[in-house]
Amino acid sequence: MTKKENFLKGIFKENPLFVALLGMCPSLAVTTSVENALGMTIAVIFVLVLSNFIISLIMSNEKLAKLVRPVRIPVYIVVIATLVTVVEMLMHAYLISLYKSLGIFIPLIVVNCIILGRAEAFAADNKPVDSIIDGLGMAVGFGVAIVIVSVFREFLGTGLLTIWGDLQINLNFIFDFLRISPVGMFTQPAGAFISLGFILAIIAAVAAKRQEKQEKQAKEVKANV
Amino acid sequence: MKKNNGLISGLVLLSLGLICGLLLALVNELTFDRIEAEELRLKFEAIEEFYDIDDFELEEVVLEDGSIYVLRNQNTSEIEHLVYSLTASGYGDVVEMLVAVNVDLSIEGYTVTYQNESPGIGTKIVGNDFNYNEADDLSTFDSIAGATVSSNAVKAIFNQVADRAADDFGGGLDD
Repeated sequence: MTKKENFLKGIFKENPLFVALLGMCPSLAVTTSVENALGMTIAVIFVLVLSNFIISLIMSNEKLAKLVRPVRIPVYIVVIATLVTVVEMLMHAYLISLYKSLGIFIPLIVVNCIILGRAEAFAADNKPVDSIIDGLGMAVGFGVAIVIVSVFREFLGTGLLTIWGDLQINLNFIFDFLRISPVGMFTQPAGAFISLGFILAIIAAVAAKRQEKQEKQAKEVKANV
Repeated sequence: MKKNNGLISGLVLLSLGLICGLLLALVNELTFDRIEAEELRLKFEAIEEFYDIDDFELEEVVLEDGSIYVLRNQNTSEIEHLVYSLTASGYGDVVEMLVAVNVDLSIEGYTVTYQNESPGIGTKIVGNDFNYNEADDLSTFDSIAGATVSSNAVKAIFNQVADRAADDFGGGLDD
């Protein structure tokens, strides 16, 4: 696998949220606004890249790996929890409004299956540089996915898109034009599941169409031969 | 031999824990002052919505579940205004509010400084007029239809103010 493929697999082929359906709890909870989704993405990029790097560094030393292997899960958790706490303190100090907005979901990154999953499935068996690229790809893929869900939810639920701080796009004119009101339910937990369901259905439909087209082309090529 | 390996593995984990603990202590040392300053800045920004802090002597009285910002006359040191920072349980998390009360017990204003209520429903408490005008009179309080739990949290905070405002202005704080 090339470095480019390693990076891109996290965004498309093995997207943690849309394909593997991992890390659903924080994803559904924080996607009430685009700003929250972006904030969560920054935190996950920091934690995932560094945890993959540190774990890969520990496991790539043969002697150390032999000693760590029996207690590897506690080791992963200690590393991840430390990084998450660092992110939490930095966010509290420098991005206080975002910190207050994300609330409990920052510490909950510790138990996010994506982070632990990548540590065990990739970082433990690969080189540090590849692990960094894998972590970056997965975190960006996760970020893209939760931003898409948050755009869907915030727009349908409030008619607004809160990008960052006071930067807000008001799209209520679309609802005014259609003479309907935003559906507040989309900002509720039930709306999160419905939104994700819609998005997964769209992705599945596009993938099926694509596959159908490819099969058709393959048949045509066969027939011509 | 295997037993020793297990012990060494445990020691490796312990060492890693110690390194991580030291790292966290370092980051805490670096961010602690900034976090305190940011929290205070947020509070002061909210208080400035009601009064110009520079015109008063500002003093903070810490309560069990909040604090009171006492604004005293710079010449006479008499209490002119009290700004309560109190919390109550809401739907998603605690609701934290600032309630500014004048010496005649009239309400100067109130603002929600922290909430994690349901977007579009409970979040209506932010900027809402609850028709709370006198510190010791909650009979005029207007709840938000459909956001009962969030409204009750706001009312609980106003109740705390109503219970103590007259006493605080009457010398309760000086005691």
